[in-house]
Amino acid sequence: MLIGIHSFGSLWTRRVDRNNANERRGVTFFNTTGVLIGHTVRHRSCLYGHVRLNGCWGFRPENAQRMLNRVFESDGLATWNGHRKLLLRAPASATANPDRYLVAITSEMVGWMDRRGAWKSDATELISFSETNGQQEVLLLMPAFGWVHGARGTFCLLTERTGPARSGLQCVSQRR
Amino acid sequence: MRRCVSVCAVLITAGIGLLAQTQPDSHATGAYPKGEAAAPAARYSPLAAQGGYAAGRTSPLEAVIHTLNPHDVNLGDVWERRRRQWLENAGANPYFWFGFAVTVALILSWFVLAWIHTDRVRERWQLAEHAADALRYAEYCRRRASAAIGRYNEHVEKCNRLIEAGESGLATPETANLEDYRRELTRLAADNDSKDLQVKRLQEELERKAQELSDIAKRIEQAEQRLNARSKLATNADAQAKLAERINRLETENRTLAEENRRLRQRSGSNKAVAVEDQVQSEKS
Repeated sequence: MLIGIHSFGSLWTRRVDRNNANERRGVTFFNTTGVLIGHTVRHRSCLYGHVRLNGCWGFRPENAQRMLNRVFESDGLATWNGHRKLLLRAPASATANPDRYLVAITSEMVGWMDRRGAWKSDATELISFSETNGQQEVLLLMPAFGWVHGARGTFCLLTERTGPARSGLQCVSQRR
Repeated sequence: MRRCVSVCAVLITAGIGLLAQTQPDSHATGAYPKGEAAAPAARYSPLAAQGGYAAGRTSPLEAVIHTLNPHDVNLGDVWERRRRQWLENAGANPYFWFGFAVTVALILSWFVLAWIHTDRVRERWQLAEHAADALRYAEYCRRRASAAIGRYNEHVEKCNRLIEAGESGLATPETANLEDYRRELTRLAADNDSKDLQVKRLQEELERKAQELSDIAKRIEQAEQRLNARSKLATNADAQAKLAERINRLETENRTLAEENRRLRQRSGSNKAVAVEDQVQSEKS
């Protein structure tokens, strides 16, 4: 499965493999959702999941912006021990057509998302959901033309004509 | 603390018992016999007899000792006498050793009792901890059981609703509530919006493709026209080439004929000259 990167969650963690002699190769980064508590981003997860990226091919969270609008090879979303995991193995060709897009959405963008109602399309897969103090952040695996419904309306994921790896959220309906 | 108090009480009791076994000696006053301390130097020197130069003066150490021991009792002698007396009374007395053994056994038994008591207290604390763990685990089990029972009841309730809904598994007007309808309506509206957007995008894509197709058709038509014009031009050039070739061929033929004519003319001219020379020679002859 090919995953296009629209955005990452706001919380990054790292794990170092002590057995690996090369520290740069042994680092693994995990991305998940989080909300701002005071001056610190904490994951108040209603449903925990993470995206894993290996540092062996030179990825650094400081340079995560460079990874946007790129395509990665992946095995798809897996569930282990109740946690949802998505492993992004390695970057693929930039001209490849992604099957899904990794999208991080906050309540500031689309408004409050009611988890009990119909807030996302059926084809959209949920990776992680954080919610506290009136703030929400959600990490989704969306197909093209997948939608998310919030208090500000329905937002649809559209791919750009310039390249299939580029995508954006567009408000298609203001009604609630 | 209690153990320390017990040990101290035992030691005090044993000490009192031992003291009670020793009899005070009437000779143990320890005072020097008067008159025995007379110095022999006093016989020869009146100054020495009066105590020497230090007579009437005492050092601070002596004053302190005198304060502590005002009767000048020889404590070492008293100690030695008492010790010897005790050894004579106790060492040879089996009752003393019996009493000593009983006392030691008693003290040891107290230690054993203290040890047993400490073990019992520790066991009681461990028992209390185990009991607390068991109570907590019972509470945890009770909560889990109540949660499971709640989930089961909820599931059974849903099953009953489904059975009541005609065993179809779908929400019917009898079973669905307003919230379900609203949720379904929201989902359908968002799906519809998404589909509309997708259709719009596809129509735009189709129009763009049709425009590109018409452009390509126009370009193909123009290319065909250009090719036809080129083919016409190509036929004219062929005729001209044939004409030029014919002209060249005719010019070549003309040039050959003119050459042949000139050669023939030259040949006829030379014959005429020969004939004229013959006529001249004949006339001359």
